[in-house]
Amino acid sequence: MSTVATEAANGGEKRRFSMANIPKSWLFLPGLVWVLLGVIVPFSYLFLSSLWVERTGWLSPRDAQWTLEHYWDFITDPFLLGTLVRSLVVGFVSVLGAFLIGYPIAYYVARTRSRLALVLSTIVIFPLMVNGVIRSYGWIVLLANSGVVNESLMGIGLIDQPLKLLFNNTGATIGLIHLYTPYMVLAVMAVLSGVDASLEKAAQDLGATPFQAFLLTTLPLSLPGILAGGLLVFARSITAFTTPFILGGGTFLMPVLIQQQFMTLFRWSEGASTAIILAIASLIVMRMSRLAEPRRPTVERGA
Amino acid sequence: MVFRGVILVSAILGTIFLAAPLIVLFPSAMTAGEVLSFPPQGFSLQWYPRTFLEEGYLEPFLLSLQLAAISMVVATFIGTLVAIQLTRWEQSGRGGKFWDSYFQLPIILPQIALGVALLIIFAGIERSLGVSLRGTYHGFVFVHVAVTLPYVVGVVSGGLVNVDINIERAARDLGATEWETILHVVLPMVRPSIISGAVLAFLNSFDELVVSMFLTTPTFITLPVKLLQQVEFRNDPTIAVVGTVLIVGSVVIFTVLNAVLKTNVFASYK
Repeated sequence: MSTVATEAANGGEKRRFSMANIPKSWLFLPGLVWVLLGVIVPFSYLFLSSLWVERTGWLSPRDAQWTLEHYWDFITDPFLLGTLVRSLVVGFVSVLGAFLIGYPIAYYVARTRSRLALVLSTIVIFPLMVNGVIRSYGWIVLLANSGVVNESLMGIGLIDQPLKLLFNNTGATIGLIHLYTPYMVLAVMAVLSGVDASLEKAAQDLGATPFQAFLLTTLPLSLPGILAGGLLVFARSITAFTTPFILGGGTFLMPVLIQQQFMTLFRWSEGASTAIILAIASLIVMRMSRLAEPRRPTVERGA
Repeated sequence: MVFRGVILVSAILGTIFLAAPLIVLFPSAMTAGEVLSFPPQGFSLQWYPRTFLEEGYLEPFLLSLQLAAISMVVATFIGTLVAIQLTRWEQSGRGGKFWDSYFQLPIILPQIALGVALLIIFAGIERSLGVSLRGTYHGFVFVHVAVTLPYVVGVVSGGLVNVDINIERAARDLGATEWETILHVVLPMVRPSIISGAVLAFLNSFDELVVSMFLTTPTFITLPVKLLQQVEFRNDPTIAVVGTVLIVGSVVIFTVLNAVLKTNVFASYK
């Protein structure tokens, strides 16, 4: 094996898993083609079809009449625009909820070495494995007019009428918060592990209360994680379909609108434009999330 | 220690919030009554056999299992190859970042958008070539593999980064060829990652809803799609029953995996 001999002669570079002398780079071709045919091509076609005069079903680009009206409609039609705005608002509220609920969990698990912390972290990750329909259904059981929450509140006497928590914006938002809080927890935990716990102690030594110490040292330092997690939750919230569909009743968010445009209204070109707008928005936000991630020390290549 | 106390209580409350919708399914599923209600009327396991044998959930359940198994095998195979290639390129400095993103595309792009895009394409192919794709095994496997591939690539890449070059080099010194090194030296070392990736692929295919829902036909219905269809109509405990079965199934799978692999599989599940 001449290559090994030459490597030895060169003093042996410290590279990991390097087989740079490999002639064949075809290993990833099946995967590449699969993603190409399964994702890239369909999306390209989706984009094309958003530029046609409304046509449901198949159309060859040669026969198409091109127009930008669908995108223009999005800015001018109050219903479409309203749906977009509603999605953004719900997204923001979801991030807020995920933060308020998720941060304490992340803080406790990251800072404590107890069995309870382990249990909590397992329970947090676990819902991610469960089907979206099932999770939403659990919320139906909890939030229905005769569900757990309302029955308990009325039983204690806090309210006389059941709260309408389901099949509206509120239900959808609660469901989304539940869906994406674990991601926030993970993001914050990741960044907290890099924040020195003794900073808080130092601040307390200097006279701050525990809460002030946290507020002025750990919280600002964990901001990159909060930002990255928040943007991720936002991107996922605006693109989520199952939960808003089941829990949102008639409330229209972008993904639900798209489903309607394709399956009920049969306005495929309009639906395509909605989908593209959603895709671009979520890609931008996810990119921002990636950029906000705190820099991790990378394994150095070479000596 | 007020601060500490507040944190602890918040953390526990938050966790209860996350667990509640899942926990509440169990008593709901085990009711002796005919209707979904809370509190449940009596205790009975009657709905478990009923749901699968009488209420038509068995077929979709088996279909999803089959699809997930096939997709898992294909995605793991293709994805591992991709991961090996990508890690190799990243280490020798060739544009790793671009390809990482490329192979994550199926899960970065909104599922709803992918679903409708595939609907259009499939409809078009069916029209022009006369081949049927929607509601077929090949159509669904194609889609499910595309959608689960990123998980395999991600997890296996993560495992490969930690492979020690020297072991591989030693194998080559002893005369092993390229392929032999991969098969008998490298792959066994990342076996936990490959298994984790395979399980992720399986679960994600099994739970796949949004994309599948556009490609379904009355004769080809996967479990998540069936559940979605039923959620609007049913006021009996059948959905809760299916839910508890899936939850328990996931717990069992992950517990067994954790024990067998002796690593924390949860860590790679994102």
